[in-house]
Amino acid sequence: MNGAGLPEVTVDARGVLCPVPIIRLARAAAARPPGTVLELLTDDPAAVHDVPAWCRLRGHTLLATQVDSGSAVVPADRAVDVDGPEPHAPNSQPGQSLRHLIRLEPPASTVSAPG
Amino acid sequence: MSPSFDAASGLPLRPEARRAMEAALEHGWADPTRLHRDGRVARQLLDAARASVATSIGALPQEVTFTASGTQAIHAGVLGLARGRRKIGTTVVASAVEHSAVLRAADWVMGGEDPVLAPVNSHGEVEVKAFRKAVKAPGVALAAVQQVNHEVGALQPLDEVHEAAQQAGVPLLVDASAGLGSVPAPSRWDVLVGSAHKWGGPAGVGILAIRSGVRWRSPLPTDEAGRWAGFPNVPGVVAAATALEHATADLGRGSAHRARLLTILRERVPEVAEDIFVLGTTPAAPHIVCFTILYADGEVLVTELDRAGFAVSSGSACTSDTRRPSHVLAAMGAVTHGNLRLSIPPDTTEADIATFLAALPGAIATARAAADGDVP
Repeated sequence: MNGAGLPEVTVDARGVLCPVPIIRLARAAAARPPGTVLELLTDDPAAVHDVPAWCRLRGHTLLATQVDSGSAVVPADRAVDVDGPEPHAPNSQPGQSLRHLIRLEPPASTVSAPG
Repeated sequence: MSPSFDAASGLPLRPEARRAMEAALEHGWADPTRLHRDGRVARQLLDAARASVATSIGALPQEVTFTASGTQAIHAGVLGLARGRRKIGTTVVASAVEHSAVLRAADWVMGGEDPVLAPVNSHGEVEVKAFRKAVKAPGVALAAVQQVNHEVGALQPLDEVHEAAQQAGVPLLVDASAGLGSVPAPSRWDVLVGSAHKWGGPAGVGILAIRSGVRWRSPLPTDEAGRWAGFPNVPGVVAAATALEHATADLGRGSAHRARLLTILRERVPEVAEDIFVLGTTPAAPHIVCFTILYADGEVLVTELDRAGFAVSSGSACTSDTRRPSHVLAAMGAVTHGNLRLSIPPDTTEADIATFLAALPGAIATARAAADGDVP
């Protein structure tokens, strides 16, 4: 699965809006050791922005984001192309279900410690 | 009275502007194109206001046009530049964090196609290299980059941006709406737009300044009097000019004061609870700062702080009808929920900041509890 191995934990946040998917993701992350791969399912239109941003703030690695149908795997960086009008919405439609794979990393000194 | 920390949405009318407006309502009601005495008085007031605004923004009086709002000035600027260059192309290049009025005007001139967006870094500053590449492409009618970002206070590198646009032969529209009256007016632009209610002038007055020699063609019918048709709002324009003059005169001392208070907010807000991050970096505008408050809905936070007596704003859209998160935060790669924008008016005191900091933890706790019962 994208070279990441099977996710060990699934967080199903479909049907709820921001900030709830990120709250559930953070709660699942807080209970697991570094190295754990989490899978987050969400259809919140804000998640496509918030999941990568939360991972950066927390120092975790977003391995992949894919449309839940299983097709159209997109890279999980936020590299943007000036020719693309929607740099942070990779091929997704509002309300579409997305699957994010996140690997938990050890706490970094540069990132503020979680509460 | 409770302090407002939503200055970027608009300021109350400055007292000097109110007095000037009352005088102009009394004496400047006539049609300034008429040759009789009343008309001449209105004309003199209008000309003096134009000259005053020109001085404040570093333009020539004949380069300054007044419109019925800042949004209208943006529309007129974008559409007029595009019309002036329609033989060259219709592409608009804009920073990814422009005000939605700029982006919608760009969509309009491109026939519904999206403008070419130059990306920004995580602080909200446009990437000059990408901008330079984008304006060099064939068929670019105009470029648009703001002076100050209205959501996070980022200062755009206008010197480099304008140089890149000039090298490509592309006119640059600078939206100075969030900056005029709070930071010195920019000098590098071909078209400059601003909105009077943001610097303590009245609502309903926008300025559109077009440098001599820049090819701009009105997208609407004009009248014989000038670039933009319609009976001029002489009292509004006089008040707008007076307010900008005073705001500009206050800049030195006032900016230092606001910057000092903003520094307190930048340092203290992240300390009032866990999981709060300041967005953007310094140097930035001295009056706008933005935070991510994780695990809260920004709109609930706005409501809670309003209940406590504080006016703030948020680019989060968790509960809005549109549910479209802020394109500015998205372009920066920031978390879009839990967004809190504080923009402080010039007369903010240290005591206002202290009462706000005292009220903030309760509002955050309530908003986080409302989001999902408890914090992770």
